[in-house]
Amino acid sequence: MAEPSAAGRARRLLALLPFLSEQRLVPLAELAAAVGTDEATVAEDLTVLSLCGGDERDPGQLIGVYVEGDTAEVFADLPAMGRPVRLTPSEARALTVALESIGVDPRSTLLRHLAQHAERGVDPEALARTVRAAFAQDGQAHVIAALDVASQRGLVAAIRYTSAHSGQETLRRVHPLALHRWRDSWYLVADCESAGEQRTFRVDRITAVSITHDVFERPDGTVPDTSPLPEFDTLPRAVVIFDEDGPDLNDRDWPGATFERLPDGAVSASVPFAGSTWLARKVAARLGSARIVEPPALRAAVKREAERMLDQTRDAGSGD
Amino acid sequence: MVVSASERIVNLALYLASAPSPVSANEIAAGVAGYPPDQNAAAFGRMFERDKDDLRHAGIVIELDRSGDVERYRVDADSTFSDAVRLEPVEAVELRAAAAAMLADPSFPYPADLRLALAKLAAAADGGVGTTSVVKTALSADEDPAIQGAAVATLTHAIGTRKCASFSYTGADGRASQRTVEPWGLFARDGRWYLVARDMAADGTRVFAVARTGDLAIEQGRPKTPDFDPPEDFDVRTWMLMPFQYGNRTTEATLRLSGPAARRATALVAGQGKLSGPAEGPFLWRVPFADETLLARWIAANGPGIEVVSPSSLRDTLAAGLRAAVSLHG
Repeated sequence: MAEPSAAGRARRLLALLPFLSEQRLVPLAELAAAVGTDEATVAEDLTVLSLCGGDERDPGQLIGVYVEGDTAEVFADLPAMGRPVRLTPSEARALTVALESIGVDPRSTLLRHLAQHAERGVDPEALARTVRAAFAQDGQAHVIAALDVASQRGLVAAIRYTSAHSGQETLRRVHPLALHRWRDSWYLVADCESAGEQRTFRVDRITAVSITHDVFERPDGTVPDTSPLPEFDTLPRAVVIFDEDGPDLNDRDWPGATFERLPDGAVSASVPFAGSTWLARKVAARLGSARIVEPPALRAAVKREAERMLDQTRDAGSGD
Repeated sequence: MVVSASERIVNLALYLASAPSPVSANEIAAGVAGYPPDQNAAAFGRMFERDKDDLRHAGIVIELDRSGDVERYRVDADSTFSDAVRLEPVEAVELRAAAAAMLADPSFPYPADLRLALAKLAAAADGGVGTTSVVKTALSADEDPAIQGAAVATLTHAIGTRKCASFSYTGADGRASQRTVEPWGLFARDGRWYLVARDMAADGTRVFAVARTGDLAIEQGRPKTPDFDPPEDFDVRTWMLMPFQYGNRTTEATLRLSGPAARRATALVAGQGKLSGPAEGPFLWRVPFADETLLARWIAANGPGIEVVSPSSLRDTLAAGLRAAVSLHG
């Protein structure tokens, strides 16, 4: 861990003090977790703290702490800094931005609640007017929390999930293994009882979750795959021709794709795809400015997808 | 014995917090380990001011008492210390999950502040906040994540202190230029951080992709004097637009979200426009747009369950485009 500035280290030293005042023997691991560092660093910090005190003319005011193995022993009452210190505006902002990332609204009860422990005048809503990590999503934080709890307790979760392919809602029993975030979206990696295999679910497509009393066994020795993108080398590729170049013809919007600019201004792309529905919809949504050259099955899939969307458009128009 | 700067700052906090009454600068110089005994008053004053600032940044507010003939200092206990925190179990889990994700995210701009915030909450919480979560990885900004995170942290400081920033910028067309801006706000969308700022040369508000900035520098002169005042009503949310909303002229579309689109309406509308309707849907979404073709593409990409209510030209654009897609793949 990089050594922070003297002020940065002093902040961490001060943050340690309330933990030392409450217990006589404290595992270093617990202190390290509390202030977000490692055990070796916290051991060094405690050694420094043992040299600190309120009045240099009074050795009795030195902080009575020393490190023995993997434990810190506090052998005297600490001076007056044992009480928790209020959050600074920058700490409140860090919390606000972190909670926004799971969909919590800056006006939420949780952030208002936490703001009571910040310096006076700190308002999460005001902080969010200058820095915003994500837009608020009602309910997503609760879904993430429920899945987190289910996973930690090894309990099967029942989820209501809207398929990206069909738009159909299904009820599934899943064994939550891991949660991860990529760009704006959260994903759940779980063993799905319905599918009989490990699947990745987009959390914003989970409209309800409940934790059952059924226990599941975590697969031995396997680490859930939380990589955001597949191995492109193993995937089939489609050739897509775009009528003209554009800022969205890049590796971020078309993951794993390679592009060749053609003399007539068109762009030929080689696009890896895991499932035909995703790519068919993406090409259909170009509304005639892109076409699949191959494979033929994917051309047919684009046609079906566009026809389905067209039917929906006609239905909507006839309702006016 | 040599006392490090961090020790001296802690010593100062302990000295002031345990003093039964306000103390003078002379008492601090004599009583706090770390201030050199042979230091003159001016040098001590500068060092003490820096230490006070550092304590302020840690949340410890030092109050100046001018009631006597000598200025005295003490910790403002009400402004400094917090009461116990009581979190609902679900709130603690949400906090843990969010924190675990962002501390694992190399693009998160404020890891040190987040760690210290969690430490303070853990110290104040009955039963603790806890640290375990099954959230293991996160990558909010996927292009040069650590560089973006560091740039956002620097720009956040510039926004807070209202200091101008300058940087080189590579536009979407690949051309590089040097910019000096008044930074007003930052937002993240689709894996990128963006800066909303007044471009001083262009005399207009611009949105810059942070990943395309380089050689970022903040105005260092007169650090405690703001360089600018942002608009009073500035809200970065108004700049978190969807791709079809960028442009000078906007019109309002009304879309009907039903079935699967209604179930994930909050995620789909991304905080834009106005959503109305019964709790279970269907919803009417009134949303401003600038580019009709891009909105039609968005509808096609995010359905089923999204229908155009108005304007009819949008419905026509969507239908014509879909017919073209059918024809091209027939």
